[in-house]
Amino acid sequence: MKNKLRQLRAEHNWSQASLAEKLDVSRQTVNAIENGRYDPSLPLAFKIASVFNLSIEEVFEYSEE
Amino acid sequence: MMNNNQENKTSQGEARKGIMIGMAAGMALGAVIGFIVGDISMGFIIGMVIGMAVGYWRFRDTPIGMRYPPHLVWQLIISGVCYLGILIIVLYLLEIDLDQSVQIMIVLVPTIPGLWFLVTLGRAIASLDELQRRIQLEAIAIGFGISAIVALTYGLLGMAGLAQASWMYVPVVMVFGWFLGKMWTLWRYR
Repeated sequence: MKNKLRQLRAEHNWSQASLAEKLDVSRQTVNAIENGRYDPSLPLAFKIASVFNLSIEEVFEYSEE
Repeated sequence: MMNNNQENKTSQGEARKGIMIGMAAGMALGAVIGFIVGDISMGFIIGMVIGMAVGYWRFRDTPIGMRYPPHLVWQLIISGVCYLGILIIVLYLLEIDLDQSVQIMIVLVPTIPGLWFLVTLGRAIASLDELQRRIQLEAIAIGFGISAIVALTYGLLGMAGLAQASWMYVPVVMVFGWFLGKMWTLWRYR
């Protein structure tokens, strides 16, 4: 699943560590999501969208692999 | 100020270093302890527990969410040490000519700290974030698979008259399998 996490994080000038702190997850989790190695659970996806004040569809883009 | 790639490599690097140094130190210390105790496999088990504690102190610098909460780590260490200590006492008592019913009760005593370790491990894994939980559970699954294959293969070799090993090597193989699984899953979700 593609996402705009890195772009959104850069727009807010947040490091991976600070975003991880806001989401209450590890920095490895943020990094894995950004690099497409891990798809977050639905609650975490909602939390990510909420942190950026966006809808889930504006952050994540479903793609069939 | 470190950029994200550097920051990520640092904490992942610290995590891997902590685990590898801990396990290596444990194995080396285990050889020494094994020589003293008279059983290399027991020494390796004791050494690994101590090594994991050493590895934790190195791992401590990684952010919360990638490691277990400190109070649960201490419970794991204490329950592990209790289990090994009671196990050594039980092995010593079994060499004394005791009544079989007493022997059966004695061999069941180590299960108490063993259960404490298992419950604490479950709580520790549950305290991690979703990706870390997945990493741990995948590592345990891989370790289980490796242990099963090694144990079955070794059993078959024993039936063919080629191998005969103490049951004490089983936990060593299980821990080593978990370690390999952990390294694989850390790399997979790098």
